Amino acid sequence: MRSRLVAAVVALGAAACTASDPPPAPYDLPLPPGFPPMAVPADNPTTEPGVALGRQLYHDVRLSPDGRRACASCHRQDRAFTDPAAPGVLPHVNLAWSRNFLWDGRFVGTLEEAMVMEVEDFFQTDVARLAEPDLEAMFAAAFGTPEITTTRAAYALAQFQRTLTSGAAPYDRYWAGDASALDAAAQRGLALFYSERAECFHCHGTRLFTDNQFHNIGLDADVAGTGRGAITGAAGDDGRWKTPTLRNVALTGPYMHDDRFATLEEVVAFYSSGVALSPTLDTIIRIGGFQLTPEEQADLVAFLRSLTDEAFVTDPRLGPPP
Amino acid sequence: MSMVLSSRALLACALGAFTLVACSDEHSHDHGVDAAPPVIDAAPDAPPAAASVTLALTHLVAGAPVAIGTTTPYTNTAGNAFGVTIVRYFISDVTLTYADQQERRIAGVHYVDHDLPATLAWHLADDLPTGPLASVAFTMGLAPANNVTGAFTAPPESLMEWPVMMGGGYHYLKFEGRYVDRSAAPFNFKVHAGPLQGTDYSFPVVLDATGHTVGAAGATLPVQMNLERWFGAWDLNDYFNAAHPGIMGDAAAQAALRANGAAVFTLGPS
Repeated sequence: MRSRLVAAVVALGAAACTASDPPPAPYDLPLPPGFPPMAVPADNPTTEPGVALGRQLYHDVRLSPDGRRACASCHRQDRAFTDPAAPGVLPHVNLAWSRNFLWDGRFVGTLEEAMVMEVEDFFQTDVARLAEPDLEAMFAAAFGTPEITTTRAAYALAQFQRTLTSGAAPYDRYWAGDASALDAAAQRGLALFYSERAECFHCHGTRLFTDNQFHNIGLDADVAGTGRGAITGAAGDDGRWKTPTLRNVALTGPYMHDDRFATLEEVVAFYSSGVALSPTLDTIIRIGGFQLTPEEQADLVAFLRSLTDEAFVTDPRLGPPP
Repeated sequence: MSMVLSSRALLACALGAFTLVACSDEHSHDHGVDAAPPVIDAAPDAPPAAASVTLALTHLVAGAPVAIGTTTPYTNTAGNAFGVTIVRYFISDVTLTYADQQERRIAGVHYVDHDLPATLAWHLADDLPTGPLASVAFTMGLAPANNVTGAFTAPPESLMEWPVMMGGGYHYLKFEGRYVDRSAAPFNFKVHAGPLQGTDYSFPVVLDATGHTVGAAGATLPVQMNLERWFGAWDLNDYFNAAHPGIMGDAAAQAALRANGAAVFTLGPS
């Protein structure tokens, strides 16, 4: 019902366009090889002016009523759109394929619905604050009307989020046939990653390196009322947290929902020997840990570092508008 | 953009939870059935086809519906105490054989997840002949032609991906749980089947359907997976231990699992 309401609001906005207005130019969204199709709703096509507006809002502190915070305040491009100084912030990478948002999945829905939530509930955006000539012009270009609504702001943010697609790491070049893209350690790490010895791929699978599901990987022995279980109330969900993507993982530390690990080495060491048994521990996880040798742990870290997409974290089209 | 949400957000999250429920039915878990008409090999003098037939998938241990959990209430043939946490698999390409030897072949792939009720029924077709059945046959897993990485683009099916390094395609089966090992400690088992390095370990299943009839109102055929039979005579200590945490890369184990699978399925009473 909520999405229908949102669609109706946007449709009203679109109706403000005159028949003589040219349609906004579509934004080219090339998919990295091997990626699944990207869902783009009919009521929010990705357009050049829509992405430009979304990019502006993402970096614009006018989004918050006190004028102090924008999305980019906690989602830095050089850190793959997360922030080591902000607690528990998941990176904004490939969210176009997610329906579960935040570590405990407290929001489930489409990207548009998630952005509506962010604008209306997290930022509690005051649209009057956005009603300045520069933004009104951008809203007019994107939606055919200078009238600013929280829904249109959210839809523009969703359009920009669809451009935050990362799939050009050395790993991708390796699969494309460039054997030199991964050094020997990373290639050994890749073999481990896709084996039941280290058991990474079942959760961090597909080219997205996440299943976007919830798992208890054994961080704690006492998981009562934590994680997904705190949202659903189901004991079977206790201790389960969303699988983060591993794309650009070398840039997104500290790690886990509570930032308990500072480095990738600490993360891999945990999987090797720190796994705690609890009633909901995933059966994909070896109780007590995978007992990896120091060499295996180093190889896995080398592989994880091969998932850094330098073009993504330096692409000027994703940074602050000029 | 943040972990912190207001109480208003929590209210809206409740709406989101409804979305999740709806999501489970967002796309069909039958592939190749809705997109293309079923392949029907009909006898020339076949009576008008009119009835619908559905396979209803259930999962049993020792003849009773499985109770999912990490406790170990069951015992296999080798005497290992075990419990079941995950049952996910593909079945494909169904053939109904009638008592009069007519055959109806329904091409397609169906994904089953014990935790997703929408996947526990495969509606085969609405235009099948009525009459008594002799057998129901299908493939456990995916035929090689259907088992290519990238064939499934959306979860949950896409999450059955079988690593390219092991040959690519998709798992046929994920059957997981916990057992009590020789040291009396809990150890997780992962019975994962798939097309290891190009070798196809899918297998045909033929179930005696004597006593089942497709009536004018159609039929629902109760296909039962008897989970403990996947183990055959396996002592789980030999297959899931510190040195051998899983069987995905083990061709001998994949072959043995396929052999065990011959006895896994039964057809329940109408």
